[in-house]
Amino acid sequence: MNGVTGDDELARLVAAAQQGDEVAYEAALRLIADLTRRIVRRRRGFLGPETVEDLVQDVLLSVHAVRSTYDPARPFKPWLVAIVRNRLADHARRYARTAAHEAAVDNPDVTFLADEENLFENGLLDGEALRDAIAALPPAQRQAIELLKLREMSLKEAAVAGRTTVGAMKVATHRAMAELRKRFKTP
Amino acid sequence: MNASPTDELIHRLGARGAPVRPLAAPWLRGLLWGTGALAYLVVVDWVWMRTTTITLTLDRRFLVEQAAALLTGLTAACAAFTTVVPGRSRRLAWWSLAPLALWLLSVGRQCVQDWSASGVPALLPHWGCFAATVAVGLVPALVIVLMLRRGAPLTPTLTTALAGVAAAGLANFGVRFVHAMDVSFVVLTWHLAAVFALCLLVTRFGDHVFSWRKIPSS
Repeated sequence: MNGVTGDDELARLVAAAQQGDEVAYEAALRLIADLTRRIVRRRRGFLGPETVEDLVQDVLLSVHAVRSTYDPARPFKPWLVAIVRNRLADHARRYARTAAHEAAVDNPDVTFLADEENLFENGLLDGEALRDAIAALPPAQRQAIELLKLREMSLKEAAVAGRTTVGAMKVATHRAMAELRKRFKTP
Repeated sequence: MNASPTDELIHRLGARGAPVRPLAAPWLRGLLWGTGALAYLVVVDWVWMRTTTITLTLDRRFLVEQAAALLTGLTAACAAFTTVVPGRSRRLAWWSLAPLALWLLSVGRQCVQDWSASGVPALLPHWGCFAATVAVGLVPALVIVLMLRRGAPLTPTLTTALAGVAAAGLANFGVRFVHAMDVSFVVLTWHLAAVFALCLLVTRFGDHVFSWRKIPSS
């Protein structure tokens, strides 16, 4: 996809998507993902592939939320680029906020001063026990842990992937974490 | 081979591609809101006039002031609707500064003339003017915020500030017809203070009101 042809093609597909054409919509989203990936790499060349994909997904969700603001009579790329720029700026702000509250530390061999807390026999370090405990959770809670903690999705992405709401995903995660804490609590 | 999370997301969003009606042009939405707000103000003024005796002087200064307030409200509304459409220039936001400046100049000039004729007046409380402008402006403010939420939250603070100016400008336009306080100093202080109070009130909630919406679960 390049130049005017790409823009016309996208404009046509998004216009069809606004009419409810799901095939055209999926095709448009694929083109938008490719285009967004290129823009993000060009503007934020220092970002790793996973962060780039996070941003692409963020842009796709944003495009989905505001697709009614696109006027098919106007060029498509300025519309998309404005959304991408906005999401990139949001990401930079989020990163700055997080960085301001984090301190770089070495990866230590031990994590706690007390010797007994660093034993491999400690239940918290037993990966198999943790897997079993996650597997024993109710389905909604297990899915929340898998999507948010193991696959490291954002709440929004996890809600879409799990076909549920952000609120329900938060509740399921909270309950799952409480259950896991209870299970591994040292007597 | 497993699909990547992005591919999965595209597939899921594609399946949720229900038809959507493209939003009308920003200027058209601005005019639509302006027409509704003016109709509401006519009703408010009519109810107000039934309970109060009003003496109104329709001189040139009053007409210029009112035209500037009306234009400020309408241009700020059009500019606010432009800011929620990705890819549209935000230069329109500056257009509302011209009628706003004319409005302030018109009231300010009359103030200076009043002061040179009868001295600087005391700043007496006129909470009636203040409360009336804010109260009358809240309904158009609520409506414009709801209409703006259908757009993209690209610049929440600018969007809400323009929405506040739009609502307060039209509210002041309506209140001035029925609130027979024909003293420029009062208009400059209490009416315009109300305009900016309403503007600040709306802007205060900008980031909460305008954020990238959650995708519906269905």
